[in-house]
Amino acid sequence: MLTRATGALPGWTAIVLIASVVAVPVAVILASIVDPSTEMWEQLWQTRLPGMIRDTVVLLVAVVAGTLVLGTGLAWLVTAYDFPARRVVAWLLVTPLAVPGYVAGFVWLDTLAVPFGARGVRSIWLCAATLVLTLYPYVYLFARASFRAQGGDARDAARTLGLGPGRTFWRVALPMARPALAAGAALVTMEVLTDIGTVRLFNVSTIADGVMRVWFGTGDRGAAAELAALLVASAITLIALERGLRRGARYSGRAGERPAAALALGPGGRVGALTAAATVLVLAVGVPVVRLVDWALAARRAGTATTVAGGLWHHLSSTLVVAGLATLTCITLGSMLALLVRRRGRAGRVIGRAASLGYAMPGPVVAVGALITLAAVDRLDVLPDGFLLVGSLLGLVFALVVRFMAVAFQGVEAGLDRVPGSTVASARMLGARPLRVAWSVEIPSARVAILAATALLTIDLMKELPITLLLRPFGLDTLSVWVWQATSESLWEQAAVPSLAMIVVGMVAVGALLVALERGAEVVS
Amino acid sequence: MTSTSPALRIDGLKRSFGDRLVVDDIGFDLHDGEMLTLVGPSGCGKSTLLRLIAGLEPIDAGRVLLGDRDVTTVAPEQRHIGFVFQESSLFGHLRVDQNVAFGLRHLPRAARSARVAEMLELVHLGDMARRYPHQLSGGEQQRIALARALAPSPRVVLLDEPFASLDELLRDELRQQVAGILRACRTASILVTHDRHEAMSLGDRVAVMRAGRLQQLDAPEAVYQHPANRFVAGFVDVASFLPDGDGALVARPHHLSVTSGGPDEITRVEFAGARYRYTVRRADGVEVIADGAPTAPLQVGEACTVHVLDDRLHRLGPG
Repeated sequence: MLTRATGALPGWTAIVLIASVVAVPVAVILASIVDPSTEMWEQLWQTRLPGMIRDTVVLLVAVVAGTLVLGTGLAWLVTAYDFPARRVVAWLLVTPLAVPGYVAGFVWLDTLAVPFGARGVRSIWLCAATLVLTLYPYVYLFARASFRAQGGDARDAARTLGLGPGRTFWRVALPMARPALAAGAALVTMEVLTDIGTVRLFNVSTIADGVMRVWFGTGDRGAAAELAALLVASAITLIALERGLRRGARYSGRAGERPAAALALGPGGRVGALTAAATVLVLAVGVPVVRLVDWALAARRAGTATTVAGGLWHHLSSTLVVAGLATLTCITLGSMLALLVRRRGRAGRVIGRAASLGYAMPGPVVAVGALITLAAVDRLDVLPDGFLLVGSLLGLVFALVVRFMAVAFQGVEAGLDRVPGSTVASARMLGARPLRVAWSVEIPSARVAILAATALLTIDLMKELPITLLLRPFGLDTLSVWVWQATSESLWEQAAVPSLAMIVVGMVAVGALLVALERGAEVVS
Repeated sequence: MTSTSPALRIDGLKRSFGDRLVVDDIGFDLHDGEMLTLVGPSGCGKSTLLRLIAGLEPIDAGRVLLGDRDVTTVAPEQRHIGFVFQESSLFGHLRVDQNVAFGLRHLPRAARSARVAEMLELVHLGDMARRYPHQLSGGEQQRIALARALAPSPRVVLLDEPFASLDELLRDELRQQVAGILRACRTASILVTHDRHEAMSLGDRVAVMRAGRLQQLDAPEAVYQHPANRFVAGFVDVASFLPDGDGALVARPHHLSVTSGGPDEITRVEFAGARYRYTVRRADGVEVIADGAPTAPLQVGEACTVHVLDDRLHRLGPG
């Protein structure tokens, strides 16, 4: 750790300020457990809650298992084997990230209604399958990075000790990738626990869905907060459980190690590899895009490609304003926090973790926490001209930052970790004050990490639903809100235009993410 | 397995990366219980040669025989050759004992743990069994890596610069331990190093490589006293080359001495504890390196005379 720097950079005050702004809504939710409203709770427990818990657990297990198998398998395919167009395939396999689960959801709901029937199609298993197809890239990105970083020595050692290539995967490569797989699975867990759009389509009543229903149905903030707390508890338990099971084991390879060689596939293997990748891409991206284009054209002909709020441009610009402001704020605050925390050693890191808690909170939870916080501030009546935070753009951006700032913080932190202490020390010895070191040495070194974080934030914010639905100002309808409204009335044609627009924005972000990854950015969680 | 065949025989091995020939027609025998050190400047192809023998790198031409068995196209996992890597390649997700047991899957449980205990005893790390690799020092990790490689009782063990990542004090100690362990097991071994002292002090025989080619393979004394060419002579220790007809005589610093006054000139003086080491430009323009007594050192620029103390210097032919 470098010194407590003189002057220039604001210190503990700034850290605590940024961290506490982000942590307050989370604390509000956790506080609600202390004082439970027993009546509501008992009623829920006797009626819907057991079903909600069951559906949440079944969906979560199915989606996590599915994404682990698909994401790890595809990552192994593109790192351990060599076949034509391997690099391009490796990139394309990230693109399903640009398709929101609820968009793939309504496309498949309609497409599969023919073979399964209108009732049969609304099943938890098809819901899980849809989520697997859109969420596996999280696991894939982590697994691929880990397989690439493992280096050749450990695998070579296993070979000289008598293990064939297949067994080497199971006994060395896979166990060594475990923390990466856990990180990917953790992201998938969050996405599943947060999802309200896809589950609603398939009539799966999860706890997140319950939070939204209690909120909109009864307006009972207390009960919604308690349900939300239940969700948080299960998320934290899962993550702690995995960490605990790892104990003292370490997994990473050495820096600068000889990379593991990819095995060239024979003709049969090549066809197999390309077929597998093509199948996934057709199901996750091809079919949705083709059907959406078809619907979008029909909607134009029928003149239903607009809403009462306006046309595509209105909704697109709403999305860009909300996502842009939130991304900018997340990156700014996240970078500041990462830079400050880095200068303050262990205690700083602990605060950094605390500020990341919002990311472990499902969207509906953060929305409820933020609403309670904002309403409390509004009641104080300290803002000029009777300005109310609830229902304002400022309030919405605040809640989004609470939920997503960790993406920026952890991304920039990982980027900064790769700046050697000696580099920073050299800059200091050459007379640069901390602010200049930050601006001219640290931030530039972390720029690919910042690019990657921006891309991930854009994707997340674009498809975000629960927070936007609960907190958006009147008349500010983003693309995701448009899709939500159209699909809740099963108007697929009307949902097509905004869905396509989201996929286009998402693809641009995925492209930026790939550029960042190629230039050495790491995926982090 | 017959007692007459060597533990390992390689013959005409070749390997190129692109159009660069990294291993160029190398062949030799390795006998049971023997330690052969393979030395050369970095990038000379010594590590690649080791990987070819292990099967970790495909062979372009030539043969590898283990005993009587031709393993040229056999997968690494079926060769039963032990391998110790430059830096710890221990499996970080497994404990020390699990690492050592990794190659012993064919043994029943009891025999396996007995063998693991035996190997850990051999490398004097019996009390570390339940630790994870990152909890060990660099030297301990390499000893575990050796125990892991030796556990399945391979006839041949290959070591790829196993001490390179350790600091010097540790390196000396570990070197002696490893040599002792390998001798105790009577396992044939090839140790790759770029450190000539390591090569000369550890090897029963020393192989010197340069740019993919084997320059000389012989006992350390023979390599030192009768180097095959100028490269070998200069690589294994400091050497001066005194013109001798169409060839040259190889003089080590202790073969020469320097006295004050004369036609030659001191260009550099180096204090080396028990003696001074002088670099001298002779009147004929040849630069030589000679040792001098630790008392009354000569100065840079001083006139001097170089004397040859030994009249049986090794002679190199032309070229």
